[in-house]
Amino acid sequence: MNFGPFVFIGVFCTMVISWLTFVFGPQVQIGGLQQSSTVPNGDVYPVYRTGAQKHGAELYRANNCAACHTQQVRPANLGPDLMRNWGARNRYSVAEDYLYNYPVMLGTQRVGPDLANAGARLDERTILLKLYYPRHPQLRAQNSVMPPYPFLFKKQKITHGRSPDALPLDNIESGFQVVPTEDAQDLAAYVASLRQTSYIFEVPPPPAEKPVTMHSTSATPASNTPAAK
Amino acid sequence: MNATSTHPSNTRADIAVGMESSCRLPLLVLFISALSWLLLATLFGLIASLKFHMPQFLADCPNLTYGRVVAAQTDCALYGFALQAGIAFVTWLFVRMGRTPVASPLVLTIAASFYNFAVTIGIVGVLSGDSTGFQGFEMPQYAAWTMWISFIVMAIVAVLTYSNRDEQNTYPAQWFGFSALFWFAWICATALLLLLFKPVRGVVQSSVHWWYVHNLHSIVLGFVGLSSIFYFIPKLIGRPLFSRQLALFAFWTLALFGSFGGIPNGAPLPAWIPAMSTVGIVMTIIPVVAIVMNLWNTVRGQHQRLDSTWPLKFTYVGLMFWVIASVQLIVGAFPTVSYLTDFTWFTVAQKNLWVYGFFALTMFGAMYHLIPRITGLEPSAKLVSAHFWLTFVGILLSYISLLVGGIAQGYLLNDAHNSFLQVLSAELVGIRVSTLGDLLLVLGTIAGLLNIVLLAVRAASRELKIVNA
Repeated sequence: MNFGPFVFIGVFCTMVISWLTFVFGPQVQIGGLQQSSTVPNGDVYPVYRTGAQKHGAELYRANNCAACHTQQVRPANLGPDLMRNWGARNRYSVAEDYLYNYPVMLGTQRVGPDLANAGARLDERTILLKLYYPRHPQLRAQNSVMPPYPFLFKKQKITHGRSPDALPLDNIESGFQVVPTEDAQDLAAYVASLRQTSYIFEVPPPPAEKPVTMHSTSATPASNTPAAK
Repeated sequence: MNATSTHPSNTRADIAVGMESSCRLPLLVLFISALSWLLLATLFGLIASLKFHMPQFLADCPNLTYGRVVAAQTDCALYGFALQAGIAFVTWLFVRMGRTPVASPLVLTIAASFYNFAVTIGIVGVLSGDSTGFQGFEMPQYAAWTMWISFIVMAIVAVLTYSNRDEQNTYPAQWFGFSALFWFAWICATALLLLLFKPVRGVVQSSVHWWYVHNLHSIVLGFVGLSSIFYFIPKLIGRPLFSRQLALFAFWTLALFGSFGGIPNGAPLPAWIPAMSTVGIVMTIIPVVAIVMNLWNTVRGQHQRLDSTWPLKFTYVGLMFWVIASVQLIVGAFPTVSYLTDFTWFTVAQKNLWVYGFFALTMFGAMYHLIPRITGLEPSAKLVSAHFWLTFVGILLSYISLLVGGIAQGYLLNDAHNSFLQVLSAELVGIRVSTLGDLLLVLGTIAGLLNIVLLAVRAASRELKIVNA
């Protein structure tokens, strides 16, 4: 018997079922998501990345940083991420956090730590140092396997005094300095902009904290220690 | 590569075997290019693996940073090797089982050349920083569309061959092969449109992306591999398939449940989406059991014959890897397990076993069966043996070390007293051992490629002699 058309239609239908579930369904539910406001301060969230941060995101994509770094914090019952202080207290990642990202680079593997809140832990100078020399004693990561990215930096002779951007290296010949290129600075600006610390409707602040944080702290804390909050 | 192959001479009955010689040129082109891409993929894998021994290795070259090399490896393996080998096998299967010549060897060859051109542009794009950022779908838009269109043309040739068939009865192997072609055309169109051409907003991208990657592995590669298993195991063991009904049941349940999945538990999506994904993956236990039962009963009492020929050996080892990888996927879908294993080397080990273990081995088995039939020449047995053992030991070593490393990573990460770097030191043992496996995979692939190229050269020189005579 000729099963060709039967197989074709049947296969098409099963494909459509899974398409409706994982493509159409999510699009209907969250495809039209809009900017929302933080709780309790009411600032707009999330904010569109522009300029250096936007270019930095392009470099993050081009060099596939997502091969080793995820950008998602799971709820406490689904992974030890909160326990490892990768998120703010009780604050796991939700759809809203990625509203304006293209592409969304959640990542699949954690060879390196999660970066969803990298900006809240690290400042740009530290990120630049990590990019140039991940095993720098100052970073206390002697066995890091992160590759260095020397092509994002240039080594130059000090002519008009030391550049304020120069990296704090001591194993470099005297009279020279290593300064980040614009690309490196943009990438650092992007990584430093990664933070999911504001509480929003889907992930409200933990109850005990409410009276303390009410109208007292900024929605996007500038401090380097979100996990301690 | 084209130069080494023979002219498509359908009429020359003095060479090779009937209908099957009609696909000699396109199949040699497809298999040689597929193996070349696999070699490139394993080489990229080796480079990536070496970076765990010396992170500064090739660090000065922006094109060969770890992230780009890993992306190139994935794409070479999936698009360069897997889809190409898959379409070659499925086309041959339709020719063989339908007892009809391939619909248009010339169009198939031209489409295959375009396909390879597109993949080349895509990999160059990925290495030069044009990756899309969607893991497993990194090829930039300018390459991906050409690749998709060339694939469609090749699939049309295969489908025309299928519908020209002389033998009206169809068999499980054909359903699997036929569906895989359609499935890829559809999912790739969705991914192209909704991820690259007119991207959807926010994490809907992730849902589409995960769905695409899961379907590509589980259904497209899975079905092609199973197609080969369902054809060769009964055929070469010399017994009919135990139950056609059971195969039909497994086919439909696998199409239904196998296409659900890929969304990690804890993804920043509405909770029902990862839940549906988990349910789908767990339900694939039904077709897995059905397929194992079916094939077990087919070979029952004839186990010793599984070792009798190389194609059969490749195929049944591929089947064993399919079972292991499927079970691992199911186990890893439970939230209690994925709590520890998600984002570790555990999932990488599973994907590697799926592509380089299950899929690649079934395709090699098919290749060593059909190449002698289409060319009338026997490949070197020594090289086939080297190909088998190097690939088998290589993937096993790399799989086990990454699996153990991944489980260790998951357990240690769960204890906040272990610093991230302490966890890294522990998992690094596994990653570094896997480098040896990656090296063996490279060597095995060289043996396989060399064998087929030498055979194609022999076929070409014989053709020249006939022309000159």
